[in-house]
Amino acid sequence: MADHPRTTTLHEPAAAPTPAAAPALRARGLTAGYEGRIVLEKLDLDVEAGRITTVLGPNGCGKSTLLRTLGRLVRPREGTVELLGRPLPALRPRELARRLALLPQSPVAPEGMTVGDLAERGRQPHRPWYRPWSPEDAAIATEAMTSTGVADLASRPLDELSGGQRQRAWIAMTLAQQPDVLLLDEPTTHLDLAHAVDVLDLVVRLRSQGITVVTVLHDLSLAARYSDTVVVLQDGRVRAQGPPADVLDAGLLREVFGLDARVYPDPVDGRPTVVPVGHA
Amino acid sequence: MTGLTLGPVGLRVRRRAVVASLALLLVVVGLGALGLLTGPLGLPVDRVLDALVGSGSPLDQLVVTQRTDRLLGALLVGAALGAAGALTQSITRNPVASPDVLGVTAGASAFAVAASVRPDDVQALLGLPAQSAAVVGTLVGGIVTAAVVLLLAHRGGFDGYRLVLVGLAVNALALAVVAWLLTRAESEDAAVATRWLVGSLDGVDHGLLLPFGLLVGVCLVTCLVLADRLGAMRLGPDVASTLGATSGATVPAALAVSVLLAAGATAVAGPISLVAFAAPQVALRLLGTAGPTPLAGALTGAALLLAADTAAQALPVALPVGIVTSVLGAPFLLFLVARSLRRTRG
Amino acid sequence: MPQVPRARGRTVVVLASLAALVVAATLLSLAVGARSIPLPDVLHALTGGHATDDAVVVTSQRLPRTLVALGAGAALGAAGALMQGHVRNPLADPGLFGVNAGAALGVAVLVFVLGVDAPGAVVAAALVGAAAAASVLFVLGLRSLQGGAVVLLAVLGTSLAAFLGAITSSFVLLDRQTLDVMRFWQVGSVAGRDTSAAALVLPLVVCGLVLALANGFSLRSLGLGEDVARTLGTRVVRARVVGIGAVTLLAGAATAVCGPISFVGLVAPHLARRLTGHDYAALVPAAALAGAAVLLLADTAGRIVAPPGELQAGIVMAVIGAPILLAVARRRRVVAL
Repeated sequence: MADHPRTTTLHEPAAAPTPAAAPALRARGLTAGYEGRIVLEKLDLDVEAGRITTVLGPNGCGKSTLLRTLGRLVRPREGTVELLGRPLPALRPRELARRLALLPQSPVAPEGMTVGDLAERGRQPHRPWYRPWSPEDAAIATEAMTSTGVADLASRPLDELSGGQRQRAWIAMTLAQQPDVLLLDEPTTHLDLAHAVDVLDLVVRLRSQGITVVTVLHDLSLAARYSDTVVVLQDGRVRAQGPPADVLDAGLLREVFGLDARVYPDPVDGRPTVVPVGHA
Repeated sequence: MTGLTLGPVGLRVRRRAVVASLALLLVVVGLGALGLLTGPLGLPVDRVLDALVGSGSPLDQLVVTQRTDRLLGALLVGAALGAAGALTQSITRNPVASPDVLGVTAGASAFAVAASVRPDDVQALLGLPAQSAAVVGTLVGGIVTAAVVLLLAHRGGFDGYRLVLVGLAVNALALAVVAWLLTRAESEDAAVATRWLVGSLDGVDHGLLLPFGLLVGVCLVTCLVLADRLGAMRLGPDVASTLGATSGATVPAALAVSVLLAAGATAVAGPISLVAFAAPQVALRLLGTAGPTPLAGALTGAALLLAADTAAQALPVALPVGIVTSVLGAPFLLFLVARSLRRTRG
Repeated sequence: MPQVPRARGRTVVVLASLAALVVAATLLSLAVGARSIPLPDVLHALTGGHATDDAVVVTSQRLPRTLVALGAGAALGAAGALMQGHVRNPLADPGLFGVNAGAALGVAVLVFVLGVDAPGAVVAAALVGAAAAASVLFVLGLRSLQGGAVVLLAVLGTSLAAFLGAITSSFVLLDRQTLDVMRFWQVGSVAGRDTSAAALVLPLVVCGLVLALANGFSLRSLGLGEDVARTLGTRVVRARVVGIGAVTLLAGAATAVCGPISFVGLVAPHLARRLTGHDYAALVPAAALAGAAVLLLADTAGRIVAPPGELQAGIVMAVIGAPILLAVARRRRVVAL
């Protein structure tokens, strides 16, 4: 697509940008909610480009709403979101879909849809209805399936796959969009630990391809292991943000989650590991 | 909660349920009195009362008999439909399922229209004289159609969803047969059949009331016996069996009762729509019962149908009561479906 | 490296074979009836040969009903595919779910209550009724995402159809004389229909089909849920509105001419889906073609199964469609599309 320059593609992994680079997403004074209920209130957030950012917080603190607002599934009542320096309302739907992909929580595919069909849907924002399917589209969809490890399953219906495989197939769809920014809403829900790690390893590989990833996770230790930055939400605002080791400590867990927990450096690379003791 | 024991049957009764039931009874009595004492011929109250005790003029007696027949018909048909709906809703665990989904009414309609359009064939088929052939045909048609639906839907047990969907398919077929029969009919017969198809209490057959009343009575007693196990069924088959209420005999028994009640009601008054669906749901909200219970459904159904019939008679144009129940019931149906859909959303 | 399964070539083949089927069904419909006319004579009559008795039968009787069946079948097939895609319900059909009944009620109110029966007004009334019913269904149907909701919506749709039918018959009851008109119209048939009304709705059907084809592209992503569709850049609200508009035009126009016909919109997309899979961009045209073929064959079959009379196409469709509905219902799970 000639109308906008791509910073990264699946084929040419860009060098990881320095932290000083402009934020991939910038939210200012964000207030959002549903039907009379305010979930986010005057929230400010910068998401660094080329990093894995994980949003943490207790149930109902607005994690999903934040992600959905960043992806324009929820329109904010006040405040702005900028994607790579451009305000979201200025982008046409397909333009946005070429730059930013969002995988909602527990998406449902029609019965009988195959992994290949799904990956192909990711090309939709790049392909106006009058433009026929091109070899390039096919190559990109295949590439997306290969990098998520589901290429061998291309002709299998989604309903026959395991939870982990299905989740990776959905991520393949978002990769076929060739986004700069990928938002994953609880990508590890309903997955056992091995499959969850599988998905998160994939997220790390995506970072190495230059994609900015924002996820919502429930497991604090997993979040600490895989994230460059964690954002802790409380009552619709950002309570803390920074590298996991700086942010996650016993005091914060007590105040935000009401959780009595010890935090130890893990034996692998010293990231924080949360050991719950009980309700604070 | 208060305890109430009637012979072997123990009932736990909630205060709200008692109050609401009494209120419903009052409504029934009030509307019943209104129906008896007023009417097209403007009979004075004393002559109605005379006729009721059997001392009025033959004409007065005739008029009053018609009114009592209509009143009893409304009460019995309403009660039957309400109880039948509560049973199907409990089994399918679907708030909008009524015996209609079992194909009862559509099947009954097909046979009834056949009886009025091609009386000779139906009489020959059943070996009965014309008048009873129509009634028996309706009853048999409802039961046979329901049996077909149940047979097709049975795959190692009755799954609520499958039951509903198979019912829809059979219904559609039966309604096509009705439409086809109507095109084959003489104009006069078609008019009669179309009126019957809407459901009306205008010409309730006096001779049917006693047998139908007995049927309703027996069925309601059966409902009382099934009540506890049905309550467990409403929590789903898995929970029901952990509560010791295996669905083994309960489901077939409850379905049979539901089919009998609905087919009987259709034979008496034609297919009156939406009462069977609405009554248990109204009862649920009014009486605060745990789920659509058959007895509460029966009481509410009687009150609702009587009210609808009173309204139908009060209209400037004489409309069959089935139209009134359709018009009043449809928005309620929409509301309930919208709510249920919101709840099932993931 | 494994390739994404591509089906563009296959789509062309599928659409071409369905089109061939429609042509065959058309010829069959022209040739078969109370009097069988050999195909060469049919072609001769169509190309303006001598005015033999056979030629008169073909051009004055069979050609009009064949054209009506073609248009109505395509319209109902496409409308069914759109409804199934939008409300993600495999049982959706403009007839079963009450859109046709809405159109019928519109006509009944106009003709039998207001006493107007100009073809243009009839068509407009049918469209208004269909639009109202379709909107109710869409608004409620879009909430349904799970298996249970599929059934709830099916019950709602059929109840809606029954309810609208009851109101329609009440108008008929008020006026005995119109019963005779109504009871034949309400069965749904392509024979003996008002050709001027058919000519009137032709632009509407064409318009509806174009909208439906365009809508098929949006349904590709809408099948993944509204959120995913939005993240893929689909304008969801616009797609829904176009969908309602197309269903209204197609089902309303078909009903205005033929009366309410059920099951074409159920059967045709199910047949088409076997050939095209879930790609609605291919499924919608395939369902339109399949709908035309199915309704043509149903009408033709209705002429020969019950001589000397005819079975209306609407009845034949119910006989064909109910077992298919049963088959869908008896599958182990009912899954949202």
